[in-house]
Amino acid sequence: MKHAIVTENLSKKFGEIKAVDSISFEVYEGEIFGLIGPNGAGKTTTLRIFSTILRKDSGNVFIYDYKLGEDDESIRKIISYLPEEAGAYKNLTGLAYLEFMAGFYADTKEDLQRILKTGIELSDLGTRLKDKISTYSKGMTRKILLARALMHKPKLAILDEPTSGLDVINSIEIRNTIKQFASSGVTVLISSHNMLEIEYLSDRVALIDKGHILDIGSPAELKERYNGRNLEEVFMEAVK
Amino acid sequence: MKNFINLLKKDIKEIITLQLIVPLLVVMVFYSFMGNIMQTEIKKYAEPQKILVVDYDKSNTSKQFIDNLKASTIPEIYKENSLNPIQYAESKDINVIVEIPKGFGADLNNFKQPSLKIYSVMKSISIASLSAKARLESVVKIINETTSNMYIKSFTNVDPNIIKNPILVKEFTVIKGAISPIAPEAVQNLLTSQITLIPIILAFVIIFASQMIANLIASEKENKTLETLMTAPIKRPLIILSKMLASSIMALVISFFYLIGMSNYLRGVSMGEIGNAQTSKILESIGLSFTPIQYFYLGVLLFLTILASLALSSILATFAEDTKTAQMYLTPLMILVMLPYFLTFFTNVDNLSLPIKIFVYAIPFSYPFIASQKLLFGNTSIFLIGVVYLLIFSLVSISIATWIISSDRIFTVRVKRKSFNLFKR
Ligand SMILES: Nc1ncnc2c1ncn2[C@@H]1O[C@H](COP(=O)(O)OP(=O)(O)OP(=O)(O)O)[C@@H](O)[C@H]1O
Ligand SMILES: [Mg+2]
Repeated sequence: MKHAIVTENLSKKFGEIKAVDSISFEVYEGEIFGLIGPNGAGKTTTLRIFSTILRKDSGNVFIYDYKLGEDDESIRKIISYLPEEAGAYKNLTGLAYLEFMAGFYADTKEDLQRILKTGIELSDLGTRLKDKISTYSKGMTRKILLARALMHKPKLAILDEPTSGLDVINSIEIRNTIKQFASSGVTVLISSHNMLEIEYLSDRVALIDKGHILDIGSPAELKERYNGRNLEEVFMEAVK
Repeated sequence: MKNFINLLKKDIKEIITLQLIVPLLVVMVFYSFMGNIMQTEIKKYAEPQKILVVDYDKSNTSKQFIDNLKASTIPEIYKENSLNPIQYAESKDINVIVEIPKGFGADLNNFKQPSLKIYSVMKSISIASLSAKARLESVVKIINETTSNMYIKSFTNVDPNIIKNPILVKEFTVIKGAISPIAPEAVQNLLTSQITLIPIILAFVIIFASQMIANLIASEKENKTLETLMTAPIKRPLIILSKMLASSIMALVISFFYLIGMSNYLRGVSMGEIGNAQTSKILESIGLSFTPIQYFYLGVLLFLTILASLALSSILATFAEDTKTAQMYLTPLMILVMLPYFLTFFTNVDNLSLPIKIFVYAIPFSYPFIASQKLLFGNTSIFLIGVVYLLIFSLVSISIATWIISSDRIFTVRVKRKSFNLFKR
């Protein structure tokens, strides 16, 4: 199976804080890989490094055929990143925002229209797309940002807590969108501290705490290994 | 290129908000409104004013005097009625009353220095209300002059002018080695009216541009859009460069509108004085107006100064978490812009003491201000020095700004705020 991400001994410090401490794991092409752990575990830091936003201190990361830190521009062409706390330009309408972002991935007018069409469908916002983003609710903003992250069909989508702060209905809609998208061949790396969500979505999961990876496996494997009924129980066992 | 245009369009859209357009319109309306008021006031000033003459003398001399007043005022002779002269003047909206006392003519002819009383009715402090009196005084001055000439003539054969002014002063102004028969004050006056606009516009453009770019950068952080943008396939420096271009374009557009508003106002103010066309002709004849090449020099300096201020503001803005903080960080920069503006307005920078001079020349924003003074007097070395200094300054600052955005500093650098909590252990 082909690798989408290979991480070897990746570390990152902020001053004295070791946010990520020598972690290693692999993500296969086409799977949904979940990163779960409590607040401050280092999930966001890891994802930001993969997204070329933060620089790693040490270790190696390969994203498809490119080495992180050497070929960041090529990496940016094949990934998309949904930040944990993201916003959109308040002054633009939803549609104008999608068009602006699509502009960076399209080479021709036809490309642009195709990407935009996917984005409009994914956002599921209908006529509200013509309104300014400043008038959107939290859930609507999150939907348009997710649509933005997936519309150009990146080879790797990095999603940091895609459903944080959303109600049950919106969360389920977003989960379904992600699942559908992954089945079309997109690799998804997702983080959450909502372990039930990760259990439902992910093919494989890494448990992360205080910058260390505790264990990796499919939800079924992990539940068997730690004798837990769900990933929450698994995690509680694993940190012991 | 495609990505850059995409970014640029978005950045310009971000700048054009209601908060920008409303104050712009207000200022423009205000200036043209002020200009109109000034124009009507000045027109009033230019029109001959009514004055009330109370003639108690009724001699030939006083009649002649009143005739002389007609040259520049509209004198009305007071006739005895139920109102006293002051009440009458007020009822007729006349602001100046002249009282010619009894025996005026006889005293004048006998060297007894008769007095002439002038009453000004003050209702407001406007230019027009003072003009009537000024006119009247100039008439009195002429009468004084001719009468004294008459006196002198009756005693000697010498030209009265020579007796009053034994020394004749002839004034010249030397500019760039050429001698012109004009007093320096006159040149100064013409010059200020001609070139006050340039520094004001310079200051405006620099301040607008800095504020716009600081807002653009800080709002990307405040609205949490920067992370998304930085993971899009764009060359990182383009993110900053597009904001620089968007800010300078918009700053120039806005300054242009302000310029229109302000020139309306200034036209209103300077009406009645020497016309604009005439001023520039006089200045041109003595070599004191910008030639096209000098405008080009100024343009280049302004461009480089905008570049330097944009780069500097970008660096400051990357440390801010939101637009409000960004504006706060810009305050020292604004002071550095206003300093050379006021200095060049009130003094010649070369006359300052050495440490202050060095300080002023170290401020990148000083150059267009100083140059707008010095270029007129044929000093082009200031242009060369400015270009070299500003180029180096801008390149260094732009490199720092792009380095900050290309590295992960923009997400990790945070200005630490000390908290003084007495109860905390
Ligand atoms: N920009 C930063 N500057 C300094 N320290 C940081 C920065 N970003 C993260 N940290 C620190 O690194 C550690 C890991 O943070 P990170 O955001 O990766 O956690 P997380 O797993 O995403 O947590 P959460 O579930 O709360 O989002 C924390 O201790 C945090 O304080
Ligand atoms: Mg996080």
